[in-house]
Amino acid sequence: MRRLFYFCVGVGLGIGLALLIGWGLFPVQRANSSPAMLRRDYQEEYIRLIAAAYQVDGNLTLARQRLAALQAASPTAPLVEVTERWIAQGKSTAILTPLVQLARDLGVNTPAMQPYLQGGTP
Amino acid sequence: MKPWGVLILGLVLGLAAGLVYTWVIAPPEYYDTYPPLLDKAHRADWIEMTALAYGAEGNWNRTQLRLYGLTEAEIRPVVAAVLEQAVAAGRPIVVLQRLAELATFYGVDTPAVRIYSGKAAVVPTPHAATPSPTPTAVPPTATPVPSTPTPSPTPRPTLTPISPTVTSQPLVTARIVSQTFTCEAHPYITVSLMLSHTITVRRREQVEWLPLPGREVWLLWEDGADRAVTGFKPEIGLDIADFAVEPGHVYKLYLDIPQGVPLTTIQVEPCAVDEGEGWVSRFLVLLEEMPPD
Repeated sequence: MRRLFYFCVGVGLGIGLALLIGWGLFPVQRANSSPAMLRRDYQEEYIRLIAAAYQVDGNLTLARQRLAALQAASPTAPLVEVTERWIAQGKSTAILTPLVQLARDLGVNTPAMQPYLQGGTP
Repeated sequence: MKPWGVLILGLVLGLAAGLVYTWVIAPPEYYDTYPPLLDKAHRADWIEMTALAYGAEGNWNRTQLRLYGLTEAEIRPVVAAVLEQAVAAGRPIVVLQRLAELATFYGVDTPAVRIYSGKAAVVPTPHAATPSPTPTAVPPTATPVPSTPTPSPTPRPTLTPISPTVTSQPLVTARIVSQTFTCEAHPYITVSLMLSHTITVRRREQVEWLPLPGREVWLLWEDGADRAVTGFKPEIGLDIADFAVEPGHVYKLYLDIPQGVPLTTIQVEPCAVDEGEGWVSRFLVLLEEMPPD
């Protein structure tokens, strides 16, 4: 009976130690995350990259797929949110125009984006 | 078995089971990650978009930040593929050159990279700028351009006629008609920009060269650019613009606007052994031809 007690104590200590090691001290780092798990600033960079890539390849389907990888309620929601926030922050036209043009081509056109669409076509 | 032995046995078993659970069955899910922790497909997508963005924006520092933490082995094939696709899709030359520049940086060596980074000659097409009659000052021989200076006992300039500027750009305004190499401790690139025009004297046509002051000459390298204006130092010539250059860089020479296909790509090379220590400096003569009336 006493041996069983010691065994259970040992197992309990072992599991506790393993949780500390496996989740705390040395968690396994697998490169298997998705864009939705990126840090916020990287997600913004991801959106900016999608728009810049769309400027070159013009592949709207691919741009839509890439935005969907952010797993937002609506694929265009993160794009619109970032674009409008950056417009409010006064980011440069060079940054904003590709975003606005992508949003427009995805069927989103908000009043804040209007001035950036006056200049021309993508 | 003694009690402490049972305790250690339980500890080992509990530890093993716990590690299997925490590392294999239920590893921690990460949030707020960064690109190197994306899965393989999304990493490749990130690299592809970064390359395309560099093609569109040309922002080198930002590109490097975007690719930070990703391995070159992973970047290389993606960038090469992006360039190939861009070439096949007929993207603008500026985009192709930037992609080639990026590919070169990561050690990609394909025909497309060599062509669009300016390392390989492109056979001019018939509709490309055709050289007009060569002025008498430069004998039109077909001598290939040497990659190293002509060996000579003294660092005496050697005049080497070269073929017309080879380019796929249809609107070339100037071409290199000669290069002179010297061996210098501090290498430089000097450009002489001349205008060629034909005048008629006593019913006979004569080709005349005139200096072209006030024109911008650009030198671009991997992480920088320099600009000089011809005639800025009138004491050395109204046609002259010069640059101090450093070994280890690949320089691209442009006239007026640092865009499109460069007039030439220059790498500063060490002098030939019999010329002593130093670096090859170049004196380029650019000839701009007056368009016909």
